Amino acid sequence: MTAKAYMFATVKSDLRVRLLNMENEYILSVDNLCKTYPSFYLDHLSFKVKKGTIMGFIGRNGAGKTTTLKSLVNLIRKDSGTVEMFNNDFFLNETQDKQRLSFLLGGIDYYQRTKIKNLTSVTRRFYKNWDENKYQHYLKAFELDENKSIKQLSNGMKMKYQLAVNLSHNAELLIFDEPTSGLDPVSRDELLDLFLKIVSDGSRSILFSTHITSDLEKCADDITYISKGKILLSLPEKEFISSFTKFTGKKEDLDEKTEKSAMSIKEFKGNIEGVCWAKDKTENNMLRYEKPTLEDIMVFYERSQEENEESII
Amino acid sequence: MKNLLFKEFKLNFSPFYILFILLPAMVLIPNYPYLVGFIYIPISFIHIFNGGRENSEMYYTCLLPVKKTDIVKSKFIFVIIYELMSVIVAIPFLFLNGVIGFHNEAGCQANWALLGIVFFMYGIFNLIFLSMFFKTCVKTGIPFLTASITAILLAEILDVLMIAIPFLKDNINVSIISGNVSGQLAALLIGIIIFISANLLAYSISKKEIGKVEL
Repeated sequence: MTAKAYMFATVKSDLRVRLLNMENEYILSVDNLCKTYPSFYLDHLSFKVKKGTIMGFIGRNGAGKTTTLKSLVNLIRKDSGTVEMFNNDFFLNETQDKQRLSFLLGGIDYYQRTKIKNLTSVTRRFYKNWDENKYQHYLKAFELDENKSIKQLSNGMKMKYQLAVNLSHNAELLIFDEPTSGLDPVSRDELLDLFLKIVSDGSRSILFSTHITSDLEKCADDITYISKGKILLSLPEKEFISSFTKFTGKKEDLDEKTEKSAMSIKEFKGNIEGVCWAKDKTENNMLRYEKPTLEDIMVFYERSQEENEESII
Repeated sequence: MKNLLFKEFKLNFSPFYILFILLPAMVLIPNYPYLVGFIYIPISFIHIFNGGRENSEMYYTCLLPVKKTDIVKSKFIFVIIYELMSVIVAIPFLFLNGVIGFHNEAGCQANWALLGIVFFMYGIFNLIFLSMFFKTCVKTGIPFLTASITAILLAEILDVLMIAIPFLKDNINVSIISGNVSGQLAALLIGIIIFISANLLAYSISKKEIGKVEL
């Protein structure tokens, strides 16, 4: 082999390894996912979840968060699009992929009167990688009494039980729908800490939907925002936030250009505040510009959508 | 499949249902429509399936690493095992009835042909109930009413024919001990064939239906 040919082969092989790594970097890739209902539709949703990260899936009530998550795991039939999980087409490898997947819709609403130990005795049989020692460890760590029925557990404990089960079968991708809703601030904080611990070894990822934006600020690496069945943005948290700018000031200082650039503006007691896309930011020295919170972005963006609807009406 | 069946019996089957399996012992009642003892089996399915629905059983099962078609298969096997248990329990009581020498004036004798009618009834019930249930995996009321009324009515018609048609009365509706067994066994075989065919048809319909279900 000539030196040139050797170099070409090395570069090619290196490129292949890098491409492979890039592929492996994502534990979940959703591409052009569509689902149509008579009064609502998911419109070509695309996003990717990296290994070892937490992605927050946000949107207001009815934006399509639960429908999207259910479509990912075939609880709802998609019309079109692909879902790649662990580098496989999920719909072709559903059974194998579910061995490595955990999907929790809110709290547990099944087998409420069944004792934990009975429910687990059934669930554990389905997982090839079930680790009983791990399960017993989590039961102790979460202070779960196996003789209690699901109904006897608080919302926080239900979540912990779910986590104990799913971590014991070594789930690599954990998908949660509104895991923090119904939890008190302490339990919520505990749960978010647990999420961070789960992904800390870099092999597991979490995708969770919420409308409680402060949860995301605590733990999310990436944010995917869905509004009316469409993805507005799917970016790392910092980039997501820096895509927007918030401005505050006196009502009389608001110029026409800034007013036009804003997604929406709120007025209160002679003051105004608004959020605009960072690329549309104006330079008005009388106004104060700052980084918006996720809540600001959500509130002002959704207000702008409502205003558009009102103007149509 | 073994795991799914374990799930069915562990989470969905209450020990209370054993009572229904024992009810075919009613063939020891003199002059009684013996089919009644078996009717409780289809009736108990409304409780079992409603219990599953209230426990969000389908949602729990669909998230386990199993194929949706295996969920359907396990449900069918569970239903069939439950039905077969009632038939197996009935057999010693049929013989006991024959040994005692009861002659039933209220319907089919306690013999092999009665089990043929029972298989027919179970087959029709499964065909209608299960294939309608798997369209939604939630609605049980209309599927149950349609299935139970049709299956029980048709089975009762056969029961009455056993007395009304002289040929059946003389050749099939006879004692399991002293009567002609070949006629009874032919009726049983026809019942079993209908039961198997109805279940296979219901399974192929349900397998397609569950693919369309949204949870």
